[in-house]
Amino acid sequence: MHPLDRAFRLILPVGAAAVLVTVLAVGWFTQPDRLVKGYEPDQPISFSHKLHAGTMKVPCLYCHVGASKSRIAGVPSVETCMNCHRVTKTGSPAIIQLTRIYDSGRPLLWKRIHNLPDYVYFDHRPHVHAGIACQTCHGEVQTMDVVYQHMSMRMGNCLGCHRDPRAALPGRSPVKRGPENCYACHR
Amino acid sequence: MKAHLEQGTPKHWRSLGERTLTPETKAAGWNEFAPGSAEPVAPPMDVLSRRRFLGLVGATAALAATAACSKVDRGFIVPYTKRPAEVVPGVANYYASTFQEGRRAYSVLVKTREGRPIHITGNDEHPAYKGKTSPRAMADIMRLYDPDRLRGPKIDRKPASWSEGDRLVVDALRAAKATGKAVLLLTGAVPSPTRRTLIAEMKSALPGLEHLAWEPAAGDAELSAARAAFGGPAVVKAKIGQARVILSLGADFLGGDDPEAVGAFAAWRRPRGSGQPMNRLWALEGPMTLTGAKADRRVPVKPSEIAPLAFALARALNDRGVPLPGGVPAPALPPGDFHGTPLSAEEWGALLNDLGNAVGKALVVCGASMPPEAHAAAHLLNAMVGGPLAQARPAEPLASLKDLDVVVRRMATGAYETVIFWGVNPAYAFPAPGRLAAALERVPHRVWMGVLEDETSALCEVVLPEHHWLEAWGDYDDGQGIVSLQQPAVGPLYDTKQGEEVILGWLKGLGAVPSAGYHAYVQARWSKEVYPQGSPVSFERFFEVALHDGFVRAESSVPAALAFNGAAVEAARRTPAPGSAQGFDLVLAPGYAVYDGRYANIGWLQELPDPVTKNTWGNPLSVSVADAEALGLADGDVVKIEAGKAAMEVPVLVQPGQAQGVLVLALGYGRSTGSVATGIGVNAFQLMDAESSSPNLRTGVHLTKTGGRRDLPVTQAHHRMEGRDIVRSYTLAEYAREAVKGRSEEDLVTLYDPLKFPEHKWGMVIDQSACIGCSGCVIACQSENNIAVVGAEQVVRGREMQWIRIDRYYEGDPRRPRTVHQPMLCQQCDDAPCENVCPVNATNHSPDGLNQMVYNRCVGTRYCGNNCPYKVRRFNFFEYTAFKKDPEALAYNPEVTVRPRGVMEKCTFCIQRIEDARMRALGENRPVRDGEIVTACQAACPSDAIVFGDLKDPQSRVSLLSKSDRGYKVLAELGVRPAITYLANLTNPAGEDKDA
Amino acid sequence: MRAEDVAVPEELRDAELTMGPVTSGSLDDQVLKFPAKKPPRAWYVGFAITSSITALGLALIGYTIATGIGVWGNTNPVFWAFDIINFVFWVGIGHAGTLISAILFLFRKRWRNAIARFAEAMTIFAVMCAGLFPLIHVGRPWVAFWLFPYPNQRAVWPNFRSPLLWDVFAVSTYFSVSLLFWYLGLLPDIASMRDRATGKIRKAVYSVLCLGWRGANAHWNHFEKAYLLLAGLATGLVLSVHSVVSFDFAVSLVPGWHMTIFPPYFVTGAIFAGFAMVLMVLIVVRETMDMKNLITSYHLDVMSRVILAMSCLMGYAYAMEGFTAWYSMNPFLHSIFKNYFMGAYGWAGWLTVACNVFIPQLFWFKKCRQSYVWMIVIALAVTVGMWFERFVIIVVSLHHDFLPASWHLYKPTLVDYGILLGSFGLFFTMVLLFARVLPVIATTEMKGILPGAQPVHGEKE
Repeated sequence: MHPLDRAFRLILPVGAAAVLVTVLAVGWFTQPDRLVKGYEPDQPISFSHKLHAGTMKVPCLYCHVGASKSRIAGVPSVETCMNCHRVTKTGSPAIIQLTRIYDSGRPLLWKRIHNLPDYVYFDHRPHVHAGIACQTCHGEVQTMDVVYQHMSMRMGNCLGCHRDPRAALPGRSPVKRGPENCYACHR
Repeated sequence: MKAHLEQGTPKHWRSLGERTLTPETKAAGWNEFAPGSAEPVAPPMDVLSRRRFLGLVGATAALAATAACSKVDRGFIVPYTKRPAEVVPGVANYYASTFQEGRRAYSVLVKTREGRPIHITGNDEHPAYKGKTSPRAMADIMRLYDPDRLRGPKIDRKPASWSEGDRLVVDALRAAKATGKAVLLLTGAVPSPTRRTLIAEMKSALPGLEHLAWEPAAGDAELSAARAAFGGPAVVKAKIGQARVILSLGADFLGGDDPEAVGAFAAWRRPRGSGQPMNRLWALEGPMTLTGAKADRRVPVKPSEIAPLAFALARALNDRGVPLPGGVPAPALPPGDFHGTPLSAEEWGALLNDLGNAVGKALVVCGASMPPEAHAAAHLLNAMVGGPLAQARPAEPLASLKDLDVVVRRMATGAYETVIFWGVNPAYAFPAPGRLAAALERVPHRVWMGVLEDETSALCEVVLPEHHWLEAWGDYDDGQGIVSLQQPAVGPLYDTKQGEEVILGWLKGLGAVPSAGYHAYVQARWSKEVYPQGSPVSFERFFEVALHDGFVRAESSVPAALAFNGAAVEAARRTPAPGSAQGFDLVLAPGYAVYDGRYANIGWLQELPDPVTKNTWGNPLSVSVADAEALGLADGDVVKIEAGKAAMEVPVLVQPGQAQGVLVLALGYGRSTGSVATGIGVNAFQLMDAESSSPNLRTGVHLTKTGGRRDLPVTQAHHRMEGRDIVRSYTLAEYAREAVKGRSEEDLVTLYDPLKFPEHKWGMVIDQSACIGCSGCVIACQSENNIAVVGAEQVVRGREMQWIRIDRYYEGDPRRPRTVHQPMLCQQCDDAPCENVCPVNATNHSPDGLNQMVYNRCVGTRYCGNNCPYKVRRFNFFEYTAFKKDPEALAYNPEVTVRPRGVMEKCTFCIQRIEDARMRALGENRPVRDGEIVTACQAACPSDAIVFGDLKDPQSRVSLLSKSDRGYKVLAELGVRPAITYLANLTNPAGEDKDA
Repeated sequence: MRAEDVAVPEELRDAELTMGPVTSGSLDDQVLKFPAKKPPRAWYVGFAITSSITALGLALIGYTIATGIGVWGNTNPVFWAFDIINFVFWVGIGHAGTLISAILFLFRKRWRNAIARFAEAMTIFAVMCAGLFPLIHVGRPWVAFWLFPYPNQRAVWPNFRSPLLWDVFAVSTYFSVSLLFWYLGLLPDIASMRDRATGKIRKAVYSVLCLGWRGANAHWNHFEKAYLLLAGLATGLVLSVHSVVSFDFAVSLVPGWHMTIFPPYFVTGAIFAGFAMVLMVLIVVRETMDMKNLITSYHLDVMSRVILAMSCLMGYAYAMEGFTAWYSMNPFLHSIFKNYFMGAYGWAGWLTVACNVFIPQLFWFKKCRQSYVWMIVIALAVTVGMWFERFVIIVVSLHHDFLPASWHLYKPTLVDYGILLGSFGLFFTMVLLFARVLPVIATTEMKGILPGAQPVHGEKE
């Protein structure tokens, strides 16, 4: 047999294997879950959801008012923090920093954690009205000292729940499934 | 354009920061939950915090970028520090305000998001306008965000501070006061009582002040004729709604900028079932106008022939026993027969019948560009047949071009110490700009105040940037008993001031009593003059309510009606008809979109197809079919047009229906300043005759073919229906004869099961009988749905992006065609042909009957566009949004994706409004109410021709209308099952009654 | 007794498929020498020209992708123009190859052996050109992969009702099968090239390419089976591919597209255009590579006859189309067909009919079937005509559809012309390279039809 033929017998399987490995590797490295889940940036003020939402049981909607009124849940204005912190824990360095910002009227730049593409028009209202717990998507925030992303929030996540929301909904909820048509989220 | 396309912009945008494209905000831009986006223009009334905010974001973003973490950084969420109580991020607020144009003031609602205006609609509580407004009012939001806006005062073209500018002016005024030399204040019309008071106060503080209120496109003949006929400056308020017969003498009261007239007219045009009456519109006009297009009988008549005709008509009516008003001797009128008029015996008889039988219920309206004697004749006819329908009331005097000419001549003699231009642009609109410039040389101090730098500001030493009206206070009196209020909807974007505020400053400098700003000044006047003395509510409450409503009723302020002075007729009769036999009549009408040029820098309006010619981006010369044949002219041929000494070259557009011997050229084009306006079209003002009493009408104009050619950016190239069943039109008689049978698509067989719609089935009804083709819907849609402007050369290629268009068809003899309008938008077909050809499912059907278009899934094969029988899909051939400059993007609607290059787009029935209403209903545990969802086009339609709603609800307005016997679906035979029902057009031509 | 003795009339005799003495050895020498030896200057010149045209085309494609489809003339309502015209045109060109190599193989048409290899090669190059256009014509080529059905977390699948999706499958299948078929046929030849090759690199390359062909009996067995099977597969594709392409139009409701006659009519047109192209190239090959003895005037004659037959079929198809349109009593269809010949693009309609129906009728004359000039003139006419046929179908139908208000004329841009030119450049570059490195005639198959290769009927002892 010609030596090159023998060489060729090697080339085919090895080449095929190489291609397969590359594809898989690239796929794994670029999967969104790897990039987004567990994103946990440092915040300008060391605010603890564990303390506020967990220990002190402040309801989410007290600060994130938008969630029931608007498409956007929003981050509370500094004023909202000051509602309590004019009087409570005024001594702690974080609160002093907060007060300084508040008095100066400067904006407070929190690091964004949850981010959706620009063409996704997620609306908090129906989800809140349906009684879905914030934790369903945002994770057990009340246990987090520093908030991190718990769910990758891709279309798959949305669809999964919209097709079978029982797990997320409170018992005896009239809602059976969520809309799956494009205009429900995209415009 | 390539240059634009190369610079990258975000394909979609959510936060304003991102769109504004400043590098620092880019980092903060990936902000889905919009609070951060609110900051740039909020909190209201505080420009500094915005500045500081941008600075800070810049610094922090830079830091963040250096400290990059392993995961992809997602920028910031920037909440309000102190959230204004009324602002909930993501929820729109509406503020009532008023938009002024010339003598007219539109009460509008300004939609704001996070403190920035994004959309303007009519104020639905206003009794006259009923929630409608003009296309120009809606588009003017782009002037607020115009990148060309002045960002601070200038002195001798160099940036300066306000204090410097004010000092210069005050010193000049002081000097003038000392020397007693004249000071000229040139403004536009001043329908604002408070501003009038202010100017009066200025007069008293500065005796030498001459105030000229000048509207370049107003039509001087109308003013002078009214002066003659009613013994003083007056306006005739035509009560269209009460007239059974309307005779238009070259008037364009259906021009779309008078929603009240349109609404009142349209109310007569949609009889529910036969037997109900319709009004009848006669149009005798030279140009082809929207009014003429809608007329039941239209006769092309040269403007110079209108006056004699109208007088003969008056005489004929008198012969039929209609008494002439006092002071008009019958012999003063020509013999009352049709010989020598363009009317046929039949037309003449029918017209006489209609007017004679409708005494007291007939109305004659005369066009602003018609000669004075035509107006006199109209006043006479109204005095005979119109009565209370056409009452003249005293109005603010306006300066005519003649008056301005006199002033300019005096200026040339050095008579003026100082001139102040406030919101006017004579250097552009004065027929002899050279002479004006020379005259200005002789004026030591030239002050200019306005929003956008223009030809005039270039000639001035002190240039003071004024607030846009959305940033300013004001009030307007419509002379009909309604005083509307203008309030700021956003804090000043730049270092600008309210014009009145500036003048108050000068007055202080002149030693007048200081006032705490114009806001206080307005309130002071209101508390004295508008606030009903001794009313139980406090003034503060009264003013708050006025702010909320946008207007108050003040019937007491309506002046008494003026009596018609018959002597005027004699005079008018004696003036020889201007028409010299040879040469053309040239009508110089205000541009439909750009008016007198003040909107020329707004891309939306430049690209708004003229409802009649369908031309965009420029002003071709309209030539009648007969003349075009005689001169061998075709669309786009360049001609040389000569009027007196003035001459210019301009492409022609052959206009069916235009009277032979008439040329029409739109004013407001040919600007030489403004990055959008410069070089678009020709400046028709230069063809005006400053000495003439009716400068808008030139006679004895000559035309020569140059042999040049230009592609016209028209959006419709073919004007006949080719016998296809597209727009159905019936006369009232045919309709009464039950000749109307709307083809329903039920009789079409299909192999597929009918689609099921569990909750809703959104649908629309468009009444072509009510539609006048004004294209207000086009602008409203553009503003609501972030539709791109593509520019002239793209329109020439046929790539305009508007989601709704008005198809305009001519039928019959091109010299005297019948015209129909058809608003055409996505029909949301149930068996949509676009859906099954899309290879990636980017367009498909929603459970509530919408044909969904998903931009982020679209690959751009354009197959859907090919397969759409209505051709309402629009493709992004380029990155059209790459043209946007800071801060234009602030006008975007954050609820609608800005489409990137390479995707298909189309009408969505305003899905963002539907979804919002559904969500609110969901929150309140109730079904969506009928009429709760209003699409942008529907909201803007002054004739209420568009109705949107749920077809599953049998009681909804839309389902009731869709069952009308006038209803049909366009191209129903294709079996695509459109969701839009068109109601056949109805006309009420004279003579029909007999053959019925 | 011997076959020759039987007095068979001249016209009933099988034509000689080769001229002069051709033995297996001489055949190998003649055909396989080309890859071995340095090509003439003419080749370099030609290659320089075609490759630079290709470069131009590719540059313009790059420009398009960077700037947007707007640099083409496409507009509303003519959303498709040169892009899809070229696609349909090139797919059509490909068909002749498969027909010759597969269908004529199954029919045991021995004359096809000489030209099959070349025709097949042209098929592959044409389909490569065709495949280019659907990819670059989309607004966002970087997401064009969404047309392929692959599982994704979005749970969104392509729309299987869309003819464009059928295209994706049809064309990709067609390409892969043709490639396999062609490559399989090449194996024995490549092997003999390997054996003849002297240079080290050449030897290496050919040995890899021939997949270890040693000409063993088993090899030949498998070879013949596989070849027959692939021929069978390809035969189906000849008919299916262009039918599917025609569905892009037939399935839509655009007047002038919505026609049941389209599938057969498109297939005919494809074979028609393909044969014309093959004929042109063959003439060049025959002359420049002195293959007169292998590609005889008989071959050219047969091909000319095929073109003639196809041309008549096209004429029938046009007539039928017109009749259906008239008979349908559909006003939209009526106005479209008026437009084909009397509208703004009437000239294109007339050009199409002239080139596809009238000019090829010259092939009735033997003189035309014998002279290069006439053959090339007619073949060129057919190529032009078939391109314009697609122009008429696509552009003219689109620019005048249902609502007169949306009618709009179409004007191509320089970029459109450049990319069209570029596709021709690409095609001929490929052809030149092929002629340079691979045997342009299937020696193995030729040997099968050399005189004396087959047992002659009635031979004794």
